[in-house]
Formats: sequence, C-alpha cells, structure tokens
Amino acid sequence: MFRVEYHKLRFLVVDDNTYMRRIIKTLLHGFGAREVLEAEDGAAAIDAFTSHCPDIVLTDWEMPMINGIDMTKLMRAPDNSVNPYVPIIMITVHSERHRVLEARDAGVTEFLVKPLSARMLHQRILGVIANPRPFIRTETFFGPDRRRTKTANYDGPERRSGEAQLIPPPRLARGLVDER
Amino acid sequence: MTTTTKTATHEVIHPPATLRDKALSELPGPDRDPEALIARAQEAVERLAPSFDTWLRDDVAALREEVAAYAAAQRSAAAAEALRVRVQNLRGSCAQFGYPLAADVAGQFCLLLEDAEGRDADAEALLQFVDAIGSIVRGQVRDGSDLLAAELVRALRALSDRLRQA
Repeated sequence: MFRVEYHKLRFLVVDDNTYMRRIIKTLLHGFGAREVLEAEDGAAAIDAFTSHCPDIVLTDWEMPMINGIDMTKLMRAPDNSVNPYVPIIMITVHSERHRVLEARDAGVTEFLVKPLSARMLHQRILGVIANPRPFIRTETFFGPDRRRTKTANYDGPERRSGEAQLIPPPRLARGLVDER
Repeated sequence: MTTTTKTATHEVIHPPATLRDKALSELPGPDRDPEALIARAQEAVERLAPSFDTWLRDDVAALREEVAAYAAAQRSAAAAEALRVRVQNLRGSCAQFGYPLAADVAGQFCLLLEDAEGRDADAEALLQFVDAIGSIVRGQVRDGSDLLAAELVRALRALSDRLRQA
C-alpha cells in the first residue's frame, strides 16, 4: 500500500475565511503535515508562494481582490512563476458545471466541493502526488491536461492535431494507489 | 527531467514527478494505514465541532452589519460585489458546518447580489436573507425535515426569483 509522507510536504492554504483555514489546517496536521502556510487572499498567497515555494496549494475560489481563479492563473504563468507546475486544489462551495470548467481552464488541478471531509482531501492529495498529469501549453492555455481519460471507442474529431505523435505520460499502474 | 513533446498546436510537458519521489512511500505497517490516517484527521476536525455554531453566528452577525452598512451607503456595483464575496464565504461555512438549508438561502442571496450588479439591490430583502440564515443556525435546522425552515427557504427562493426578474 502506498502512503503519502505528509511531513515531507509544505502546503499553502488560501482562504479569506479564518474558520475554513482552521478546518483545512486541522485536517492536514491530522494527516501528519508539519508545514502549513496560510494566506487570507490571493495577493498574500502569491507572496507566500513566491517566497516559500509550497509543494501543494489549497485554495478557496471566492476571495476579495485576487480570487482563487486569478491567483491560479498567476501561479501558472510559465515565465513568471516560481513553480508553474504546482498542484492546485480548489476547495469551494461552487458545484455548478460551468464553475468546474472555469477552474479547469484556469489551470486548477483538482476541484473539491464543500463540505470537505478528511477522505476527500486525502484522496485528492494522493492523486496529485501519485498520478501527476502532464501539462499542456497552447496559445491560450497552460495547465494540467484537461483530458483525464481517453475513451477507447471515441470516434469524434481529434481536436488536437498531431496527437498521434505524443508520448504517453509515465503513470503509476492502475490499482497501485489506494482509492478507497 | 522535464520532457516536452511539441506539435503544431500545442506542447505536452511532463515535469519530473518530484512530489512522488519526495513524499510517496511503500512502507506498509500498522500505523501506516491510510484509513487510520483519515480517521485521525476527521476526528481532529470533529473536536472543533462544538465551536461551529458559534463561528456561524459570529459570521451572520458580522454580515448583518455589513448589509446594513451597504443599505445605508451609496450602493455601488463594487460594494455589491464585496458583499457577494462575503455571502459566498458564509455559504461555504454553512455547507461545511452542516447547514445545507442555510447554504441554500445564502446561494439565493448571492444570485440576488450578482443580478444587482450595477443597480440598486433591495436592502430590506437582503436583510431578510441574513435573518433567515441566522434563524436556521439558531434553530439548528440541519435538514429539510423542519417544515417551517423548508417553507422559509421556498419563500425566499420565490422572493429571489421575483426580485431578479423585476
């Protein structure tokens, strides 16, 4: 069985709600994390991200000034960011499909809808560590591959030309990761 | 090492799996069971549960003051947006702390503020939403089985729909 060594990871928790930050911090410490940085808005998060290089960012969507979406775009800026590949897990009350797509298109790695549970959070963290997705750069997008699965019997048009030339990403074998 | 595959329209980049190397281990043992880890973290959060209602009540009281201030001032689009973010914040807390009906009311409240962008939101109606959230939390109504609360939510949804169409 595989296990996340939480004590080796540095987390950045971004939420303007003190109580939600406390819930998330409590969960991470409960998992064994020792380094949990906090930021109460997107601007403070960018500062903390740049100076402390966290391994994983957990962020709210709705925040004053720079919200979670804009913050994600800044962290993903390939030429300016200290780590444009950082896993970003968005924790939000928004569950509408258009919101999920907006987050995905901003470069969010994983999406979690409140109420947040220990199991959901652990599974998402395990996922981003064990099965990191390749990144895609186009003229208008930079972020984790938005295609999570390939459908074997898909017979529609191929929207990414040159797809056949791609090298499949290295992945852990299916079933290697505990997803209970 | 990062590997990149380029095509005419895009690049596929495989960054090194640094986190996998750094923090994923295959070391089974009695204290390494993920289920125990998850249970321990969940229990830690549940120890905070006695504070949830107090936190929510504090948030509702603060929001009530902000809505009153919003109503008393010139209601700009920027002020409506700031208030909407605040209500979304409370909506998330309600969902997290076990009050889905209150989260539903807060969601309707947000829709009203989104539609109010650039025009005057009905301040009296906004206060009704805050009071409804406060009542649900004070009454510890955690599901739809409380008929009075369910009726309150239904009435506020109708009010929200009516105001947004006006």
